[in-house]
Amino acid sequence: MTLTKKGVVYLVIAYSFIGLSLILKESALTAFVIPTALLLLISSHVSRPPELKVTRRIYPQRSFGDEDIDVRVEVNNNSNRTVNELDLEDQIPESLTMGVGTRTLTTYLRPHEQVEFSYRISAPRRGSYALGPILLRRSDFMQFHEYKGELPVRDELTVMPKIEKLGPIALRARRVGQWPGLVPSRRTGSGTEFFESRPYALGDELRRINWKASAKAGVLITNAYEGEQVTDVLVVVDGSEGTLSRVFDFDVAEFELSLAASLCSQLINQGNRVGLSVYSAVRTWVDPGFGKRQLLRLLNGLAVASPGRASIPLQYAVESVIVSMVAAKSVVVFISPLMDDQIVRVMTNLATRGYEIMCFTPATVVDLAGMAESEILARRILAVERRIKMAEVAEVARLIEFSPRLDIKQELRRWKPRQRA
Amino acid sequence: METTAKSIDTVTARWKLTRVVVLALLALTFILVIAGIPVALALPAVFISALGGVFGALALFRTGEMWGRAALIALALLFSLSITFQLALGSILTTLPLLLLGYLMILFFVEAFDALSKHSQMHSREMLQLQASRAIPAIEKSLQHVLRKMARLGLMLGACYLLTLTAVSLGSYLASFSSLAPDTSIYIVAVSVSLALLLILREE
Repeated sequence: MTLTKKGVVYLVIAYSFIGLSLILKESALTAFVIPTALLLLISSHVSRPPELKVTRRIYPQRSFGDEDIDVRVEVNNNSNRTVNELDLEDQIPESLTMGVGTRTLTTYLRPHEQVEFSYRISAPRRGSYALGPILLRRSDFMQFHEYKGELPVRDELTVMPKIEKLGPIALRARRVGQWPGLVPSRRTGSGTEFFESRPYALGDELRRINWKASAKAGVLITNAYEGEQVTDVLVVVDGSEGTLSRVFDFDVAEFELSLAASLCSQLINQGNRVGLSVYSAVRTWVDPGFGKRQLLRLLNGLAVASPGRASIPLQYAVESVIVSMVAAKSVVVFISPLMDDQIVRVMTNLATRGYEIMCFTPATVVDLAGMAESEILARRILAVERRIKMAEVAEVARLIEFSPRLDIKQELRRWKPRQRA
Repeated sequence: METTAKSIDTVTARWKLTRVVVLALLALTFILVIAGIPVALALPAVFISALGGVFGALALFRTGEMWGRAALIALALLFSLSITFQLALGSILTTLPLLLLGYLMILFFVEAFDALSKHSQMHSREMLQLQASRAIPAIEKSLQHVLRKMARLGLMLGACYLLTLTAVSLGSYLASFSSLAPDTSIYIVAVSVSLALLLILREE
């Protein structure tokens, strides 16, 4: 319990009147002290507030960006006594912008009464935000004394990267799983692509018999189709380059994460076992897995990723993670600006080990107008270096360029996986 | 839905009425305070009052703590002027009930502006739009809180006013009996202040 500034001011006023009345020998001035003294007397005590039950509700609980978040805080007085002059303030990180509503509530609560307040957070950016605790201030009637405390109500607001529907992604892997999927398995199965013709065996479906070939051969010939199964896919996001904004004309780091989210979503929907590795200031990885829960894990991993220069070398960090997380001959999808010298080496090494590699890289279209001669030269050198790296990558991986101006769906449709010998 | 709209309208109307009443009281207080200022200084006093009134209106209807403080400063300035002139003229004892009322009204406005400013966010247009149906109980509760606080404050200050006047009258009455205790009220005050201090500074 502390005396507030207001309490001190009232005391000073009271003593000023006493002092003035003594100095001026004017007893009438003391009359002004009586109300002040009475108020100080009445408001001389404040007790700790009783147990309050506070609940914070967040709508929607999972956000994919570009939408406002509504927060509602309910306060219940579960005790049998009235709580007067209660101030509550919900704490939110500074990086969040408040929309309409109020984060503070000044109220009184009768026994077992409930009150609520709500506010809106304006479309937060991708990330994870801690909401709470709630600051509590209980004062006496005139607010001369106050008790300050905290209600430990903490919630996490996760804004995931925006997901775009990409349509089917054609993958090819040397290693496939047992479950049916969309990845050609190089084995006969129940797919749609013709694989081989072979003599009829007991149990073959009649509709699979190739009547023309059977007539020519004199024995029954059956068409066999290539089975399509799932595979293991690891999405690797290289968000280590801290100076990307100077090289590209859009926020590459955010775009990379958003693309990774879309790819993860599509690959999971295709039934694959998908994992994630983000190489940046804060390294994040999610072990491969199937299903919707795995997608949530992947999106959470992308939500908390913060782009920036990493402290450990890319080759060590990425290669070791990939090798430990997915078996050889699986698919590795790189999303990288190809700025690091080691990235090409990593991809070459992985290709040698039998991994099927896809690489998404941002397209460089920079407006050079208004730039100094030296800057233009530097950018041109950088662009040439990147072109060389892209050419090297294209030898071992499928390369797809992306930018906000390019339709990634169309690029993916146009793209066909390499046919192996 | 119609009931909700009606409830919102009722609460909004009551909130507006509260602010209008407070503004009217503020105007009355200014009149009360400038009543103690001599005619020679009437013009600047009226000017300050008008300014204070505008600040008060801004504090109440545009909700800014700064405007509220400005209005209170204007009120305090006029009160100080009034009390100084009454002291100079030696007529403070006769105008004491009026001055005391002015003083208590200033204290009332300190609390009223504070309460209205704290609750203004809850009654903002955006807040009413934000899930209006759900926010009504909160808005109603907020209005109840403001009204309850002002009513309690009014009662408390009224009681203080009566007690003070009683103490002063009692002091003057006792003074007529004993020349040794000409200012009984000062002792009452000293005792009350000491008691208040004891209570304030005691350890929990």
